[in-house]
Amino acid sequence: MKRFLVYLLPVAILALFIFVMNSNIYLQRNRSKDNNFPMYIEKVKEDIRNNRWNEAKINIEKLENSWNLIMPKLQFSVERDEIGDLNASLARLKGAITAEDKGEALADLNEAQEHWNRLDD
Amino acid sequence: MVLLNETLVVIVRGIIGFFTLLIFTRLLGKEQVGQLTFFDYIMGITIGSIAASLTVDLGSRAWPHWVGLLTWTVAALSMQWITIRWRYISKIIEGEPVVVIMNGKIMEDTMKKIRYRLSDLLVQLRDKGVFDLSHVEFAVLETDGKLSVLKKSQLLPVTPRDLNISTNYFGISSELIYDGVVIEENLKQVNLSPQWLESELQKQGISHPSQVFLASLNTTGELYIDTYKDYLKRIVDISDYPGPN
Repeated sequence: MKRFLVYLLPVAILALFIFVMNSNIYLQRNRSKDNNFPMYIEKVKEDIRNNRWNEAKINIEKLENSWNLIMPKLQFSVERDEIGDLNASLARLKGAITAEDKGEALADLNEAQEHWNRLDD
Repeated sequence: MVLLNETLVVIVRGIIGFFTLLIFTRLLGKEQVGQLTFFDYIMGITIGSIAASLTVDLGSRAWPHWVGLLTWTVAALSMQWITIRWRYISKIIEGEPVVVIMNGKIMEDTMKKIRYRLSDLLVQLRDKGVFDLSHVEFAVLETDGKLSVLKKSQLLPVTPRDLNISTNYFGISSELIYDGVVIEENLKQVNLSPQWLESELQKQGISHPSQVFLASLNTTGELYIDTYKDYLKRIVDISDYPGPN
């Protein structure tokens, strides 16, 4: 039993570390309704394209909430700078939606989406 | 916006780095720091540096650093395996010992070839307690940079064999009690029972093994016992300042 533990324990520890360091793969794919970041990105995109600014304002809040739910878990497995960049894109996007600036809003939205996709690079 | 918890991330990544390093260095084996070759030394620094980046470089993911650690460890393990299996390759990789003093003569050409200075030789000889070059028969510079010295036979210490004195066999002692705990495996190995140990302790006025810090049995059957209470009347203090030792 002791011998088994001596070999099993380090393997289990290393496996746990590998999981923690790559947990973003799981977290980015496993989406519930609340933390479905890509879904809200698409919703906000549709709202902006169709000039539905009131819906866009509601959905940007949901997008931000979903990001705030997933980010504390993601921070152990992704680059801190990438998280910072995504935060900045979302802040700019919020501003562009408030100003109802379609061009700026779409640009910021695409940038946020790009940061999301690049989190595991 | 939820603030990122930088401290927590560093703690988690630090734990990952620390235990990964611990497991990987155990895999790499028992080579002592004193026996490290120059390459081993550089490798140690590199692996340590990767582990440090893994912990505090939050600008990059932990995973690539961890893969770097794994790669260096696997490379080091492969080198160990190759050098054990093929002696010739081991000589190419690790080099071989070089004789720098032969029959009392300094090998200047050899020293030049390996870029080893006379001052280095003198320092290392003094380190070995040799202050007179005429005392040295052979000196060999080992692959880990240490100097092995063979003094002239007239200057070697006299051994019991030189004096034709017979000696008893003397091997490795077995620890029977360590930090108050009886080591049953060691007792079994020397074919003794816990009852024997108990009676030996009682002979010395010790009622329970938990009172013993260390008990070891040498190959002549002599039992060394050190209890937690030392009953010393006067304790020699070599410290000459009031701070911590």
